[in-house]
Amino acid sequence: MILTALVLCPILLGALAWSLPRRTARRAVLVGASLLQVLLAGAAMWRGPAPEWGGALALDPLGKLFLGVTTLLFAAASLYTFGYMALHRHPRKRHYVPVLLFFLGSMTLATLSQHLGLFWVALEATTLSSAPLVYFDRSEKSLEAAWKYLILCSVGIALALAGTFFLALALPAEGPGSLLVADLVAQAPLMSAPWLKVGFLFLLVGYGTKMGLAPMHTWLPDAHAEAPPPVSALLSGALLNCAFLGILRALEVMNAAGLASFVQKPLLAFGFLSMATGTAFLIRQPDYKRLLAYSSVEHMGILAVGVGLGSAQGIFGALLHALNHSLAKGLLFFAAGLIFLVTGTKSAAEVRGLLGRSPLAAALFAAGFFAITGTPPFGLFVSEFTILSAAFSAGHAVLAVLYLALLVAAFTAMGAVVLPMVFGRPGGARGESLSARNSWLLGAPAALLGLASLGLGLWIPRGLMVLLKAGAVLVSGGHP
Amino acid sequence: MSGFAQLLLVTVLLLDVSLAASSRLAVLIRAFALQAAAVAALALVLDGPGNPHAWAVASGTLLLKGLLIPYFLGRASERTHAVKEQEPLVPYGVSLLLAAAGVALSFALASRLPEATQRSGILLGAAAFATMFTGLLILVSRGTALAQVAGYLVLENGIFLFGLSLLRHMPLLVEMGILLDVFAGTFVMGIVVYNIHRTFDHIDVRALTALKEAADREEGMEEGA
Repeated sequence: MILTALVLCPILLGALAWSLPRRTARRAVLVGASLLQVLLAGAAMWRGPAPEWGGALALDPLGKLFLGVTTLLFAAASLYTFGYMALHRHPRKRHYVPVLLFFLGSMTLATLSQHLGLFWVALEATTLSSAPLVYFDRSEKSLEAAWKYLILCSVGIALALAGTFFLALALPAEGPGSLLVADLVAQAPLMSAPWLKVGFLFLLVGYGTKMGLAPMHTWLPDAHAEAPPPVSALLSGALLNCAFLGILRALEVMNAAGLASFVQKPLLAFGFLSMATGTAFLIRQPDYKRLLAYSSVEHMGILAVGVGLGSAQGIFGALLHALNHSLAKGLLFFAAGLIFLVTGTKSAAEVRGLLGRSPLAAALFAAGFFAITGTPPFGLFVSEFTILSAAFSAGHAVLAVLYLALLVAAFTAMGAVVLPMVFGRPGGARGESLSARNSWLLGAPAALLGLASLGLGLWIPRGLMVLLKAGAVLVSGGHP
Repeated sequence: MSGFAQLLLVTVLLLDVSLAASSRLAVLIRAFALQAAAVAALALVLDGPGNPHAWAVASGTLLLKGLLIPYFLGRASERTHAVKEQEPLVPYGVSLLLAAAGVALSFALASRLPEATQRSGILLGAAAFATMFTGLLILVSRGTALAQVAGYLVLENGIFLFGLSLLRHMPLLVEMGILLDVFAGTFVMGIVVYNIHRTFDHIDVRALTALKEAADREEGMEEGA
């Protein structure tokens, strides 16, 4: 019951919001729905509910992790939206809240799906519901971004559907023949290896497109930079993880089939290419929202490298990194929204001396920068270090050095753009100043995410540790 | 496999070739609708008319892909005054040859499919691969937004055709979800295309380049100079 409720509540409340004529009423529904979702998700994780829909909906450790991230980030984003939309002048858009809630419902379905076909349906639904959010500004640029996002991700995901069918083809002729992850893992040793390989490659390219792995990432900077900040935070912090979950599900099957060595090369190749591409476009990036988007490409590369190392330690590091990245990137996009409100520009060169203009925005943005680049004591330092040591212990010394070099390059490149914005000599574009109430409404969700990211660097709660380890065991098929 | 099923598959293959070569949007949309109808009929023929699951899939496909989507695309092309693409990236003659080569390649690929799927014969696999290939070909060779939507739909037709040989693996809920996603996807794409037309007064998506990185643009200027 509770799993079904998790999927249906946001969608039904979205429909309710659609019928409400007043903007404030719709926003109240948004905040209410996101808090209800936090309660429901908390209850579901606490109780460990039985599978529903004939096993197609269930909550396993991976699902718990990504459901938790999605729910918390959405709650933060809905609070932020409340403050942001009141300030930002925008055309009247009745569809914003309903579509946002539908987006939440489809992401939740993706985290709960145990059936690969159902997972596909959920992930395609996330594309369709988030595309109107990208076109929120009604500008020419946002229209171009929405079109690219829609067509590239739809085609990418279509390939993932073909990949899913290829996995089904690999199933032995006798047997239950279902596409539930548990059944696939149980049957994996009997499945046809060539078809498994073809299926995995299609799934990797398909879901990799949606996850923003280079060279299929071209839509990502446009969509993430043109969407309004709370939506960018969700696209980057929640949706990319959902696509990553699709690749993790495929990995569960591949590792159970004993094809672990086959999957490593493509994962490492996409991972390093994404890290390199993301970093290259950080250098002298003129638009600070695009800067954050390219940083997402880089971090998705780190996730692919982490799971591509093949060891449980690498997978553990990647799962922790996914969580850390979501917190830090949420913080950064929220801070970027504040900067836009205060300065009225997206150009990094026109933002100077933020510290004098808006200490709140400056502090949040600087903290986000140190968090996302893995500076200790933030959480990303721990996860990046875990992946680094996994690379050394797997005997990939050359890759480990390359990985470290790319991390340092990303830190330098991003710092060269961010630090002058924060500390430089005041001047440049000027927008409106924020009232105390609005600073509080906008700053609090961002600060909470920042504190969470900081906390994870100092101490990982036992419950989370158990969850991450269970997830790593699940993906690696129990092999150390 | 029955003779009727084979006839339907040959129809799908022939439509692939004509899809790749048609410059007029109306023809493209009509050929897609016919192909979707053939796929719907195949769902019924392959799994026997006694199977309620097959009936549901067939009628859903016919209704959404055979009727509603083509109707919707037709209206979109009327509203955006998009009749025909004058300058495709790949000339239509070359497209035609490529599609024909794709069909030949698909037969070679399908003959290597595992035994389990051959219950429906090599023709089904070949038609599925050829349709996927044609969809991708249309996607990369056309610049009009609506033609690209049609390409996506043809690609999806091919994947769906492939899925038909696996009907027993898929719960009805998932099959319906896939159909609904494709329908909703076309709907959203249609709205975006309409907005592109309203904003730019054309729907040539190759001309949308405002978001390219600054470095790319500088290179473009150098080439132009």
